[in-house]
Amino acid sequence: MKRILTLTLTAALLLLAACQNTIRYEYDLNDGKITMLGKLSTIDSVHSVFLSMSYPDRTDSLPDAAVYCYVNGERHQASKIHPGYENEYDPATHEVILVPRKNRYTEYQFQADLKPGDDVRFEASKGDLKAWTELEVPQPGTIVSVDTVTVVKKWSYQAIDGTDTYEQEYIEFTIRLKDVKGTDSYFTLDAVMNTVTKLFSGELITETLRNAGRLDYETFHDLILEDGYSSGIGNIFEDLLPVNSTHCFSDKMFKDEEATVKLYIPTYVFKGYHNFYPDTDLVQLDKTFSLVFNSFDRSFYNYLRAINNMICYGFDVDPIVEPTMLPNNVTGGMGMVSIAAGTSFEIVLPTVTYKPYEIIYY
Amino acid sequence: MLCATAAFAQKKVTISGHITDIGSGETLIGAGILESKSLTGAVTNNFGYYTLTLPSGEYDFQYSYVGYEEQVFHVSLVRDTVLNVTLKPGEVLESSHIVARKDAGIQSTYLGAIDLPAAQIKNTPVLLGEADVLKVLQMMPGVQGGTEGFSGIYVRGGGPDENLILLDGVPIYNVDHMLGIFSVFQPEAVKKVTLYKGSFPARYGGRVSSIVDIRTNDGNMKETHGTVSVGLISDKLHLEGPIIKDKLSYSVSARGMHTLLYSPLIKTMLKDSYANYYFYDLNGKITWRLSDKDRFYFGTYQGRDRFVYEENGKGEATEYIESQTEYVKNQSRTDVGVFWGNTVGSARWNHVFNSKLFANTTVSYNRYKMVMTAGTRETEIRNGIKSVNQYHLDYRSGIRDLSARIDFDYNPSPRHLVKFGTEFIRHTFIPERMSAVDREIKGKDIQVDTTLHFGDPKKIYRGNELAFYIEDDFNIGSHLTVNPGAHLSMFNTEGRTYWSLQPRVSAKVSTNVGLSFKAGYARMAQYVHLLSSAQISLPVDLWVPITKDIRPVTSDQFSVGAYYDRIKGWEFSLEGYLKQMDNILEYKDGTLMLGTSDGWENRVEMGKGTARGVELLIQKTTGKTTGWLAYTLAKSDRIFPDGAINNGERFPYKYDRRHSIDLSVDHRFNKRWGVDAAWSFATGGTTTVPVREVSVLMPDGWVYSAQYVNHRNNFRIPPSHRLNIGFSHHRQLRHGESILNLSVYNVYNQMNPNFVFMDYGPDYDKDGNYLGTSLKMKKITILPILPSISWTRNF
Repeated sequence: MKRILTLTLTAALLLLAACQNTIRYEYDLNDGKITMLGKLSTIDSVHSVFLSMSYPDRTDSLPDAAVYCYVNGERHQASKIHPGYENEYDPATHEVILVPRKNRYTEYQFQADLKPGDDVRFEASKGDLKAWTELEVPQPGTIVSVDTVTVVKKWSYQAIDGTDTYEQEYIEFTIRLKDVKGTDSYFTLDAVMNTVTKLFSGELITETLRNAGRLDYETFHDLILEDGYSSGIGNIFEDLLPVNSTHCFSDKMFKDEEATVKLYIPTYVFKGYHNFYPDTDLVQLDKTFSLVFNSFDRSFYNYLRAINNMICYGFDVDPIVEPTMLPNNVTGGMGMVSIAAGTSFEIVLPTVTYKPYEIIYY
Repeated sequence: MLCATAAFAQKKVTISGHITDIGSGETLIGAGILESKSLTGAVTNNFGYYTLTLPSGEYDFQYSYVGYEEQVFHVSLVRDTVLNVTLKPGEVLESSHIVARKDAGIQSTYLGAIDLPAAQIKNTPVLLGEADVLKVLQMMPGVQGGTEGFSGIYVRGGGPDENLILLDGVPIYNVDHMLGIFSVFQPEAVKKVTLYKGSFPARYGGRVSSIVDIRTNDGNMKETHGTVSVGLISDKLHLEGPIIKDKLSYSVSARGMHTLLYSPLIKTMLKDSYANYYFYDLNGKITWRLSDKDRFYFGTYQGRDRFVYEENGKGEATEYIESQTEYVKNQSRTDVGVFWGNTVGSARWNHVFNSKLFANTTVSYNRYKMVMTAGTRETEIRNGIKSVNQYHLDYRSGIRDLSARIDFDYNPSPRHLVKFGTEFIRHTFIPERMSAVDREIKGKDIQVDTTLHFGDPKKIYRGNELAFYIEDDFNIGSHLTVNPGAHLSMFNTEGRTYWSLQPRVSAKVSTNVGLSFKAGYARMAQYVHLLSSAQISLPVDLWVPITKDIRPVTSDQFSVGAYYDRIKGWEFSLEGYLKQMDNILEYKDGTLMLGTSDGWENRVEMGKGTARGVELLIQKTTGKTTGWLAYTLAKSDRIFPDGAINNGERFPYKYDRRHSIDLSVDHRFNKRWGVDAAWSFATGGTTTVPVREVSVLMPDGWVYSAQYVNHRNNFRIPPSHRLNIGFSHHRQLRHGESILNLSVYNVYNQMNPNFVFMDYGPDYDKDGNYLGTSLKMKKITILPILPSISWTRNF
C-alpha cells in the first residue's frame, strides 16, 4: 500500500517539482515569549514548572526568571533546579568532561499542598516580559474498585506481507471509575511503577528512588479509554491512526455516573529487568504499582490531545497532517499549566532481591 | 353576438412545440417565444420544449435564440396548437430579446444563475489548448479555483464536494483528470452549462454550494458531421448524425491523451521498464424522436485515468553449492497500476401529456471506481525445477448510484409555470478494500496459497435518498415574478432517517427602464462528503455518506441583486449574498488526511461556516466582440465550537479569497481570424504555517520543542494573476472547416504559487558566503508560460 502510494505521489511530485521559489516571509528572530509549562497535582507537595523562551526559530532556557506561585493568595517562591550533568568533549584537552546539561528549558520547583477548589496563580517574569496563569484546582474523580486477573490475549494482525498471530500474557485491570458530578470532567488514567533500588555491599550503600514513570498499556477497544482514538489492534488501516498515548479521556460516556474500564499491562513489566551493579553483593527492589486517576480542566485535555497528535505524526508541520494548534492558558506568554486533582490506587509488589553477579533475567 | 365574442375571447388555448437548429435538428435550450402584443413569452426547457397559453386570437409569435436569426410566425390560435420551429444560426452573435421564464441569466427569477453556451466555453483560452468547462466556470463571479491552475471549483465559500455536477441530470463524482489539471467534460459533447449558486430552483438538491447542470448534444438529425482535433495533450474525435433522418440520431465524442494512443509503441521501446499515464473520455448519446409527444434519450459516459509501471528482469547464473554445480535461471516482473474514473449510463423519456403538461422520466446508473494494484512474480529454474513466487496486492474504493427521477412541467396559465417531481437514489459506498494474494509454487507443489483481506472486506455503506419538490414561477402583474418552492428530502442510512424540508423562494421586480431587482432565499442539504487528502484532486479521496452521528450539511443563503439590460448586447448584474452553513466537516487538528475511511467520523469535526460577498458581472453577449468582466469581493470563515479545530476559534476558510477579477474577451476580426484573451486575478488563499518554536510538555514529564501554529490558515498566500491568449484561424473548406488555434497560457510567465510550504534553507551574504540555515516559506509553481497549438477539422 505504501509503495503504491509512494509511486503515485512521486509521479505527482515530479510534476509539481517544475519550479520552486522562496516567498518573502518576515519574522523577528528576537521576538521572544515566555513559555510556562507545568503539570501539578494534589497528590504531590513538590511541584515543577518549566520555563523557556520561545522564538520564531528556536527555544532557549530561562534561568534567571522570577517565578512565583500564589495559592489562595499566599505566595510561594519557586527556585531554580540544577539541570544535572552531561558528557561533553573538550577539544582543548581532548577529554570528555562533565558539564551542566544544556536544556532548552529551565525547571523551577516550589512546595505547596494543593486542594480541590484552591485558587492558584503562577507568575513568571524576566525584564519587561511577564507571563501568568490563573487556575482552580478541580474536583477529583474516584477509583471505586480495581480487580486484576492474568489473561492471555491472542490476536491476528494483518500486515501487508502476511498475517501474524500474536499471543501475550497480560494483567487485566478492571477498574470502576466514578465521575465528578455536575460538571464536564476530563481525566487521565495512568499506570505508574515506582521502584526503590537498594544496593548492599555488606551494608546498605545507596538507596535510589527511581520513578519508572507512566507505563504503556493496551485497551483492546475500550471506548472510554480510547476516547475516539484507534485501539491500534487490527489492520494496516488502523496503523495510520493514532492511539491514545496520553491516556486522557472525557466523561461524555459516563456523565455523573460510574463506569468500568479495562486496561492491560504485559506481565513481564511487573517482573522487570535486573541491572548489574559493580561492587555490590546484593540488590533489593521495592516496587509499587499505582493507578493514578487525575481530573483536570478542558484546556489541558485539549492540550493532551494536541500532544497526542504530535507524538503520532511528529512535532513539525507535515503536509498530509492537519496542523496541530497547541492550546495556551498563559496570559502574556505561552504554554500550558494544569493542576490535576488526583486519586491513586497502589499495589505494593513483593520485594525482590538478587545478587548482581548472578543476574537473572525473567 | 357580443356575448359569443366575449366567450370566444376568454377561451384559453396553448401553443407548444420544440425549437431546434435548422441544420442539425439539435434542440435549443432556453430559446424564447414572445407574443409581440402582450409581450407574453415562454422559454424552451432542457429538452427544447416550450408551451405558452393565451386567449384564442390572432398573434405574431417571435422565436429567437442567442446567435440565431429571429423568426416571426403569424398564427391564428383557435385551439391548442403544436408548432415546432427551426432557427438558423446567425453570422455574429445576436441577442435574444425574449423576456420570459428563463432558467438562468438576468431574465430568470433565480439569483446567481448563469448560462454558459458551448461556444463561450470553446472560445475561452485555457491551459494547453484544452477548452475546459470547469475552468470557464472558475471565471464566473462567486466561483473560485482551488489550487491555482487546477479545475476544482469553490462556490461562494463552499468546499469542492459541495457542488452537484450533473451530466445530463446524472451526478458525476470525480470531475478531474490529471490530479485536477483538466476536467472530464469534453467541450465538443457539451451543449450548454448552467450554474446555480444563489436561490436554487427547488428541483435541485443534494449539495449546498452550487449546481452545475451540463447538457450534452443530442446528435444531428439531418446529416452526419464530425470534428477531429489534435492538440498538445490529447486527440479528439466527435461524430454525430442521423440513423433515421429526423427520427433517430447519435452523438459520439472521444478524447484521449497521446500517451494512450502511443502506449503500444512506448511499451515496445521500453521493454525492461515501462511507465505510462493517460486519460480518456467517451461520451455517447442516442436520441429517438418517436413522435411529437414522445422522445427517448440514451446516454453514456466513461472516463478513466490510468497510470502503469512495469519492470522486467532476467538473469542466468552457475552456482557452486557443496561441490555441486547448479544452473539457475531467474525472471522477475513487477507491475503497478492505478486507474480511476466514472461510468455513467442513463435513459430518459420525454412525454407531452397535453399542451400544458410535459414529463421527463430518467433512470440512471453512475459509478466512480478507483483501483490500485501491485504485483511481483519471481520465477527461478534451478536444475530444471521451477519455483514461482507471486504476490499481488489490490486496493479499491468507489461509489455507485442507481437513481430514478420524474420531472413535470405544468403550465396551467400564462402566469404560472409549475414544476414538480420526485427522485430516488440508492447510494452504495465502498470506502476502501484491500486484499493480497501470496503464492509460492515449487515444482508441482503449491507451498503457499493465501489470500488476505485487510479491514472488513464486506464493509460498505448504503444510503437511500428520496426527494420531492414543487415550485411555481408565476407573474403577478407585468413587473413582479415570484418563484416559491420547496424541496423535501429524506436520507436513510445505518438505520437512521434524516428529513429535510428546504424552502426556496426568489422574486424579481422589473422596471420599464431596464432595471430589475431580485431577492431570494434557499435552504440546501447534503448527505455525502468527500474525505479529501490534499489541495488537489487525488484518486485516493473517498466519498462517504453521513452516518447516524454525522449529520447532514445544511446551508441557508440569502441573496439580493440588481440588474440592467437596456443597452443592446450588454448585461450588468450586481449580487450580494450571505450564506450560513451548518454541520460542515473539517479534519480535526493533527489528523492524518490520507484517504482511509477507518474511523473517519472520529477524525472530523462538525462546525459552522459563514460566507458573504458581493459579485459584479458585466457581459457583452452580442456582436464581434463578446466577453465578460467579473469581480468578486468575498469572505468565508469556519468555526468549530467543540474545540478540536483551532481551539474552537473562528478562522478563515482555506480558499477565502477577498478579491477576484476575471476578464474574458473574444473578438472575431472576420470569418477567418479571431482572438481570445482571459486575464484573471485572485487574492491568495490561506495556508497554515508555524510561526515559532515552543516547548511542549509530554505526558511523562519530559519537555520537547515543537513548531507552534497560532491558528489554522494563518498565512495568506501571495495573489495569483495570469493572462491567457488564443488566436484562431478558420478556413472554410469544401466540406467543413479547418481551425488552427495557437494559445499561450500565462503569457507574462507569472510565477503563481500552486503550493506553499515551510522549509529550512541556506542563507548567504551578498558575497555568496554561507551563513547558516533559517526557516523559509517556499512556493512551487507548476504552470509557468505554456504555449500550445491545436488543429481542428470540422466536416
